[in-house]
Amino acid sequence: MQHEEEIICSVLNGDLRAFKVLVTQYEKLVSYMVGRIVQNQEDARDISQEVFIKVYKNLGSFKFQSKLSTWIAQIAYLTAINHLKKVSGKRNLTDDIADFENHHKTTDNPETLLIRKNNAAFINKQIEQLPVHYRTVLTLFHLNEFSYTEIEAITGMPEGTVKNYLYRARKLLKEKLELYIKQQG
Amino acid sequence: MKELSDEEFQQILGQQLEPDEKGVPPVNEQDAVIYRALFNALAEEPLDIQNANLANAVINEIKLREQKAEATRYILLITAIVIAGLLFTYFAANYISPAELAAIFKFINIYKWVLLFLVFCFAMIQVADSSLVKKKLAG
Repeated sequence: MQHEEEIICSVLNGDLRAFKVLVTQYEKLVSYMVGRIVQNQEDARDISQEVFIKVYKNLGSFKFQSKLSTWIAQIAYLTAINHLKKVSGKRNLTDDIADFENHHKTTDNPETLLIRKNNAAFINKQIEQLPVHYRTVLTLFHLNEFSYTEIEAITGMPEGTVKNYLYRARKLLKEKLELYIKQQG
Repeated sequence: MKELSDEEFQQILGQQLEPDEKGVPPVNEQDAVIYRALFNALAEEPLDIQNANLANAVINEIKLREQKAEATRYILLITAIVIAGLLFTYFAANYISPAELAAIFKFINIYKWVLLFLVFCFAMIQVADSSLVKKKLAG
């Protein structure tokens, strides 16, 4: 934390090299989150860049009341969600998982969804089809290793909702993976 | 004794514990294997999300925006000086009598070195500010 405070002080004094260190430290967090929400590589890259520019401009207002990673993740989440709202309206923000479940029922051969034959690639493909809030909590919890409380702070979703989304998403993914593994023989 | 439900499996794996370490009910081995595979897959970094050179791109964009902001600031400053000059000329032509105008020019003539010094200081502050910004941008 001390080290992080020193970096922030340097950035606030206009040291761009210090900010580059900060970006390098958190680029995976932002890229994974934005990438999973936006699902378009070019847009995701532009939005990730925009997130860090917002971080740079607003770093002076960061008061160390939360972890820096939580604060940056919050900016990334809000920026990506706003982009999604602009691009495709509220349609893409629904929590309806019927499409995903139906897809599960009508999938005769999960191999057709895949190029790489491994569980992680298969699961990643499946995550892409989940509603945005499910994708977000899965990414924040499993990939970025945030706690339920931190995910609540980042997304504004109540902790109970976060747990519920996680549980339901993992259950659905488990069913898909089970089917996939069976078909793999 | 009942077996672990999906929720219990997820809770235990989420805490990175093995079911048999907790003294919990018997495990459906197939479910346990699939859940472990799922948790491992979820923790793997996605290959299709790229962030190559993001730090450089961000820094370049910040430099570009700061240069643009600085250029805009200079344009605004020059515009303000021109507008002030025009306003002064307009007021001088319409509202100031020749005698008052002569008094103003006399005042300027008397204090020309002080006024020139003030203009010089203002210009130096702008130059110093600009070079400081450039140094910061150079990082």
